[in-house]
Amino acid sequence: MAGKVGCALLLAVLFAAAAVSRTSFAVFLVSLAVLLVGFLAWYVRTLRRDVTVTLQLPARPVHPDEDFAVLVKLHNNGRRPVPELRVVLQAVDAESGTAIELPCGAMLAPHQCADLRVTLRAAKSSLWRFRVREATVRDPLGLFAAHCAVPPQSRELCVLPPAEGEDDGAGTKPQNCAEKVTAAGCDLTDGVYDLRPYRAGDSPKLIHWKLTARVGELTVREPLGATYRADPAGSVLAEGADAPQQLLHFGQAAVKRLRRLTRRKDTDPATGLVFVDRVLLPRTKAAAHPMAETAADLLISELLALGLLTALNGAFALALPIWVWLGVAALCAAWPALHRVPLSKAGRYGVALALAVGYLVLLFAVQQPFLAGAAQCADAVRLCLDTRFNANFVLSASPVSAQMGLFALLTAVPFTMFLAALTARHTDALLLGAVLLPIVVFTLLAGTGRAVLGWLLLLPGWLGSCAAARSLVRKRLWRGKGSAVYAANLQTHRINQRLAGVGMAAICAVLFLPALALRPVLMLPLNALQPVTDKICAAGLSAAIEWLPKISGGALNFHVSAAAGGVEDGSLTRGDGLALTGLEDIMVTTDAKPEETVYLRGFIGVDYDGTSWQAGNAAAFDSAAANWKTDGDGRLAIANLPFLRAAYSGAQPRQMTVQRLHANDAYTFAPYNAYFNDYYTPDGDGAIAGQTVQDDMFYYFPRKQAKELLAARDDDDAGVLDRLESAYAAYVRARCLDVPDGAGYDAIDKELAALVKERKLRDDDIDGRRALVRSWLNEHCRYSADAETPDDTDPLLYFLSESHTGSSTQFASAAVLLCRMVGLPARYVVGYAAPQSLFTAAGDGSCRAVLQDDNAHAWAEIYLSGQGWTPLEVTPGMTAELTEGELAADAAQAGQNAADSDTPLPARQEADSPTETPQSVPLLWVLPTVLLLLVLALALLRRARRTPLQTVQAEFCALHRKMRRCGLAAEVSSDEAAFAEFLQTHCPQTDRETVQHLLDAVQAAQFAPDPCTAETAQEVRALCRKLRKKLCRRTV
Amino acid sequence: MQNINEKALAVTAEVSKAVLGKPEVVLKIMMAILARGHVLIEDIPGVGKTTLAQAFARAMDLTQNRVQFTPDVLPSDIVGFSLYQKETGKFVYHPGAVMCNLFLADEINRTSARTQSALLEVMEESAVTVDGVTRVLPQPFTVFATENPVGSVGTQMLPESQLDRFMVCVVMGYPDAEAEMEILSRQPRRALLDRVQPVMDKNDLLAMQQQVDAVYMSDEIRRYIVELSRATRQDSRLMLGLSPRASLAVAGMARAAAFLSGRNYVAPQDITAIFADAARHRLCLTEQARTGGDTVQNILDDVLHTVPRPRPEKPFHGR
Repeated sequence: MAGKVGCALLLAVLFAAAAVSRTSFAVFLVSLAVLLVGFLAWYVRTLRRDVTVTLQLPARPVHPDEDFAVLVKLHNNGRRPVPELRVVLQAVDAESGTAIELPCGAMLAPHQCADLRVTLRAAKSSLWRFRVREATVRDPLGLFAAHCAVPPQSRELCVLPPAEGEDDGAGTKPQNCAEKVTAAGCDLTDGVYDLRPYRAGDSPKLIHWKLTARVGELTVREPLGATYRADPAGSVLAEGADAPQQLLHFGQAAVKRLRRLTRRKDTDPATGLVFVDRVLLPRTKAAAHPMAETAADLLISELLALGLLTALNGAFALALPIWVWLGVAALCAAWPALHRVPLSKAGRYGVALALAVGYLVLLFAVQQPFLAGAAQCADAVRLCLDTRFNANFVLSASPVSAQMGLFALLTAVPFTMFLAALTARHTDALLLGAVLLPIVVFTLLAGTGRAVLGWLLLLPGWLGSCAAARSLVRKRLWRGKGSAVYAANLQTHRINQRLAGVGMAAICAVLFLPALALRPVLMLPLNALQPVTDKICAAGLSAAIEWLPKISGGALNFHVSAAAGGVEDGSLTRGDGLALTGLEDIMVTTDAKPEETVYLRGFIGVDYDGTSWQAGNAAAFDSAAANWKTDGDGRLAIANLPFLRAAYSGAQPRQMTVQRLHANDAYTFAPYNAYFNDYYTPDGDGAIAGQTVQDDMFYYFPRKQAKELLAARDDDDAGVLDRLESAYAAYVRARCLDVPDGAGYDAIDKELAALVKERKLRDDDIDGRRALVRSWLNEHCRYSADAETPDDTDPLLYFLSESHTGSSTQFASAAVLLCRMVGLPARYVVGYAAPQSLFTAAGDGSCRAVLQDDNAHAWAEIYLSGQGWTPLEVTPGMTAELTEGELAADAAQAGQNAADSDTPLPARQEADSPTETPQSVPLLWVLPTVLLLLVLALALLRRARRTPLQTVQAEFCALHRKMRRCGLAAEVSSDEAAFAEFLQTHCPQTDRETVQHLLDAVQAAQFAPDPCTAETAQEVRALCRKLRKKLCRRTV
Repeated sequence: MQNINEKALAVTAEVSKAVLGKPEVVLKIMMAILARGHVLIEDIPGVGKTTLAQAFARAMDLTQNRVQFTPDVLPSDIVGFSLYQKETGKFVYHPGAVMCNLFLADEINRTSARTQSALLEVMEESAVTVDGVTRVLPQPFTVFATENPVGSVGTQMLPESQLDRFMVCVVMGYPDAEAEMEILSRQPRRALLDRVQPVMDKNDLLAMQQQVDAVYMSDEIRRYIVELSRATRQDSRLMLGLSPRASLAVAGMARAAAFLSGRNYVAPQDITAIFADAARHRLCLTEQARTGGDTVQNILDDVLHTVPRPRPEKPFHGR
């Protein structure tokens, strides 16, 4: 039971880790656990067939106060070890019904025989029925138990009454009493009891008070066999010594409780049976292989240590040098070897002391690099936390692999010693689990999951050592240390441990492949759970963000920089970040309600390096800007250019305050056409770095207004700004038209060039080119919020040429690339898009919008001469924000497409309703199938696990149901004559004896004292099926 | 067991030779004897109560005494008395009528309450105490008491507490026409009894009683008995429900019934067969029920009908 609870708990922990982290390894782990549990259930069911249990009692009756031995003979017929065999021996007093249960434990090596010898002593004359109540085997991990076949019949042992003259101490008194009574004229031979003086330990119930009063000495009745009945007080409850009978009149709960209390687990003189001794005697010696055993120990400890090291190294990217592995492997081999060196006790302690001192001295000598290594390891862990949860932990030192290696190796010394001690002695699985499980869960949650090899090593080692440690230690049954029995038992125990450990590790390794196959099936429910786990994660993080600074007084400032719905700046793959739904990122306040979507620019990517977008080259921009002869900072002048030009027309700018709540503080989130004062520093050509000097309050022109203003400006005015603009335009053309190399990109480039040619777009037809890009994306790609990109592929190319499904990051990146291919300078922007509807009017006439993490967005911007950078929205679902002109161009393009092909707008429609995901199709049939299979397996398992009694009941119930359908009245019970008559009349050619035999067998199975045998169950099943068939025929 | 069981059945067969047409009554009384209980026969005179007792005594080779209870019967007539003997100068105990294996107490309701209680005490303790000396009664010991339900002039009905001590109450009733014709054909009357041959002795009976005690009763059956008792206690039509002693009586009778059926365990049909006989005399109707026309018998039928019986085709879960 405990094993099953533990197993369920472990599975739950693993599943929770898998659900939260969704790293493929966690899913793999859960698959493996599921397979392993199934395997163990099967294993233990087959294991029980190998074990036979027989009971042997003394052949002759025994005398009271004479020791006698009850032998439970155990035999393992199979090649597998039986790590734990639990036998419950039951003795029932035939007279009083008192039941005594003696639990004994044993273990059996392959092909081994052993005897459990229970020595008992009877205190008084009676008839005892002995039987093996149950014999249970357990699997190596102790999760499942199965009952072995035990002899159903009980064996009887007669304890003779005490011989004449033996009772010398009190021999005279009974005669006296008898004399007194017989003298009074009553024949005692007809009485139901004998009389004798009171002895210490006699029950007060037995005292004959009337006689005691007459004789003047305590006199008790000695029952003569089973005829003993009631005491003179006439109390009903004292009738008989059978406790359950007394309890007839109490409530059910009280009956249960009292029965539990009265059922004796052990023996004592009051019950008449005294327990003397128990011992496990191996009859055949288990075969020992010392070399193989040492190899088993070594294998498990190496697996554990190297697995853990590899897992940590991979998960936290520690980059440990190779000599650390070699060192740990050597340490693992050294500890057991040291353990086997024959040394005296004093010598052992001396060596241990010397080693400890040496270790401390070494630690002291290298303390500087050791501490540095520790700090670097901590940094590595923090870095992983940063990337995983977008946290802002401060990193200190740059890693030096040698220092980290030193730290790892020196830490490994005590740890490997601990592992080696655990595996060599195989003592405590709980301790091992307590140490390893937190490490595993933490690594799974915090690490990057790139540690598959480590996990593959660690898991067999862990399970193997758990299995070895589970091997039962019941030294109470082994006799004293130094005896031959003890040595033989110890040897069996060691062999069992090693075999179980190595066997478990091997099984685990074998199960890897099917577990890999099972992974996609498990992935489906995890995917379904994803929104829930996301919410839980986000809520947890939000709470941490809110409460950590309060609790720690500002020392722990767990700050989340959320951008683009959990996607890191410039990154195109999901999964490295966490979408924090419900977390408030930014509050925007404007002086009037905006007429269009407000785009707040954060990160700006210029160069695509094959995996992510990178910010522009700041140094190149600085040197370029130096030549543009601006007053003050050239970079700011460029950033302010659209605002300044629009402001020259005399229009009144709008005002906007951006308050950063939990948004990434590396950037200033600013609208288009805003004015930046001197406190802002543009980071090269792109993002404005975040600042804390002042509030982010901007004067800006809405995009539509700016476009009109800029278009209407006087072309003849060739001022400073014009010169600056043309210089910047040249710079942009030089920088923002790069397309990455590669065959995939070339193909798209050619396709687009063909399209441009086909549509006869002129060089200055910017609207046409923009519409071309948009229509190309709409035709080829569709939207999916949780599209995944496989590792080690170019996410952009994968999106463009293979998956064609993606979110705003993919769409924006693709748009940037396509624009560059058709000759429009473009950049990639990550920030926030605040739709018009989000703004609500505040009391003072201003409007306010709180942007949450799901308002994070990525889009493309193109450079238009005279207009500056303008956003280009391509993400489906955001097209509502397009301007009328863009929509008209799109419509024209779409019309052209419709004329070209017979399939009008299929992709577009799909893109507008991104509901159907490809994963939901297999989900539809895989889940029901799996459920069906599970139910089927459970039903089969239950059927196979039926006891003979349950079989009889089930078969008879089925027969009864059938009879009910054939017209038997519901209230007719099977013990009534009408039942048998019905069967006889409705089943042709059925004689009375058969029916009566069946009914007797069924009744006996349920009500008789002897447990139902398998043969009876078979017979009843056959009879019931025959009768049911006959009933069927009749009804047909 | 089979062997002894056959002996018990042989006894009933022998008794049935003398008591014609009443096999169920004979069987029930046999069960009560096997369960060490005492029998109350409620019936009018002349239906063969004495013959029944004598037939049992003969068939089982038991000593039998009979006392016709009248208002002037004294306790000492039952339990015996000590008489001073001049020759020896000692008091000598003269055993009463109860010193036998099978005691027939005829019309027990006609005697004084004192005598009734003396007998009931003997029944309960299986021992008599005269002048401070306790004497154990011979074993086995069974009392057959008869009660005349009509003609209640000058009778002292046994109170409920005393009725409770009888294990079973049977009603003999008139024999049917054929049986009565058969009885008439036997002249003299003793000839009927002469046909009864002893088929066992009291040691066999003692052994059988032990066997009956060893009959196994499963938890379900015990629960069933308890539920039946509780149902009578909760029935609003009854003033008094079944006592725990009654439950014990039901259990004992059921064991004996199972024994007679040749089983070593109690099955539900054993309970249903004997429940009414073991319970009838212990129940007391309320005034409303009495005036409403309810009888104890139909209440018992209701109880047997409503309490779910353990049935193999509807197994109890959690056994």
